[in-house]
Amino acid sequence: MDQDEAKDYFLQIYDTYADAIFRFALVKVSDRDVAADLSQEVFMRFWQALREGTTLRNDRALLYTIARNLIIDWYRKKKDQSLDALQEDGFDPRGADEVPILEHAQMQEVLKALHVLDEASREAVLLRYVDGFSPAEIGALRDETANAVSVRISRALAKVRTHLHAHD
Amino acid sequence: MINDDKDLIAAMKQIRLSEAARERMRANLSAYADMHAMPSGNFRDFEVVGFVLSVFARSRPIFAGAFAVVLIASTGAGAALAAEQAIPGEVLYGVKVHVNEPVASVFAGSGEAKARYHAKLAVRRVEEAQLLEEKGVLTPELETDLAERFEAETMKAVEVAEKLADAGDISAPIAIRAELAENPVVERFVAAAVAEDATTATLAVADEVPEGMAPEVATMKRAEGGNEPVEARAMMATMAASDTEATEPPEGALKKAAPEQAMLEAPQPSALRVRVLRALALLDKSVDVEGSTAPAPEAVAAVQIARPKNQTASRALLTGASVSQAAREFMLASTTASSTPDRTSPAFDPALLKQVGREVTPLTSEGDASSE
Repeated sequence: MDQDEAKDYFLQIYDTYADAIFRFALVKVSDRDVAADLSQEVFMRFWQALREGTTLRNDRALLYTIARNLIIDWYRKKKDQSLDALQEDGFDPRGADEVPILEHAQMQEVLKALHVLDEASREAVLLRYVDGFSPAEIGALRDETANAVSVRISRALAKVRTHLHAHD
Repeated sequence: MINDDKDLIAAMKQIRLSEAARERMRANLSAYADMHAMPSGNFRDFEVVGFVLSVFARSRPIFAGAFAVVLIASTGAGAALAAEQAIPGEVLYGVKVHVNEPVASVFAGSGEAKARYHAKLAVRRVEEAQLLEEKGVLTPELETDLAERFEAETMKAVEVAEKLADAGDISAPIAIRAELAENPVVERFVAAAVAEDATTATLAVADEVPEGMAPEVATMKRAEGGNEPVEARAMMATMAASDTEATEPPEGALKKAAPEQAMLEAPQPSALRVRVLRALALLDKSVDVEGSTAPAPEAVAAVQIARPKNQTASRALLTGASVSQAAREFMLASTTASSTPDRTSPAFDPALLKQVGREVTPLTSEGDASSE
């Protein structure tokens, strides 16, 4: 592949997966700006992988793997910050310059609802029901069995339901 | 308002980057890609080339180096793929014959499978010759070159066929022979050779077996028994025509045909034709069991269907038993009818092929249920 072709391919990947990766990051870090920054970095690293000639059998899996790793690194840097502070930041209605208010509000509502779940469960629910990963594929990303993933997901949904109904 | 998990999931699906953020990120990434351009030399192609070289570098002489340079200097693995279609005279033909085919042969397995692969390569040489002939560019040198390559391949196949026949496996040689003999290209080639020879009077030789003829011809004559394979007649005609210096021209021929004229005008048998017929004869010989006749086509077909496991049934066929009797034997032995998998596919990983090809298609993973 020469530069032009590689770039075409790369941007096509971006167009296809930008929202998904953003969503993935957002669900895990609960901060829109951080999620956007991380997403950009995911794609930058993906480009590097293309350059290095990594044998890409599954570009989607590679993207998500890069995303997970970057988020893990980000968490490590944030380790000293308290968990409460983290949650507060997430709900902070930041300078919503580009985002319509309704959308922003809904995003906040989602994040709030998701926060009863631990990070792994949030990720599993997102990947399963929004991105269409199979439990086996999710397991491959997280190094868990498909069965463990399925159990986690059903427990997560039950917990969400309970929590949401409790607030009716 | 999110009231239950279904609402939650629906809401999650709607989360996306704002238009502005998305465009901005795209522009940033585009600039980034420009700044960190792909290295010239196409690393991803190098991967494939490196693999190819490592496989055969040990056993090949310096030619490998030269062709590798050609490979790398051109479009890398793209060249290896394009080379599959190359014909003699083209630059990439060297790649095809010295790179692709040896690499693929490594994966051809052993024994019968490998012999069949060599037979397949031999067929390729015939195909190439025909292609060149159609284009009108088949020079004698090219033909001789192809003929020699053909012979190299068939000798390997014959060697295995004979070895297996000696070991008692009869159906493997049949399969190997069929790989060459029953290929439509080869059949056409042989038929054309016969048609050409039919115009010369030396075909009359087929009616007799004069002394002094080459042994292979005598065998073929014997094998003529029931079916009179086309190759046999052509073989003898060709051998007779080429035997001008070796032995005395058979009396029969001289008498039956316009003598000196026939000998003078007999077309120089093509180097390739001679070898094709000779190869077929040798393969027939390996199939030849206990001096019996060459197997009838139905027998060959039946054996191929049933596959090599059942020796008793194979023997039954070849010693003249009827096909139905042989079929009964097959059923008794309850062989599974399986065919040898074709392992002659290129040695490249299909996923890798897709990457280094010119496709720029969005990928889907295995089991990708929904799309974004």
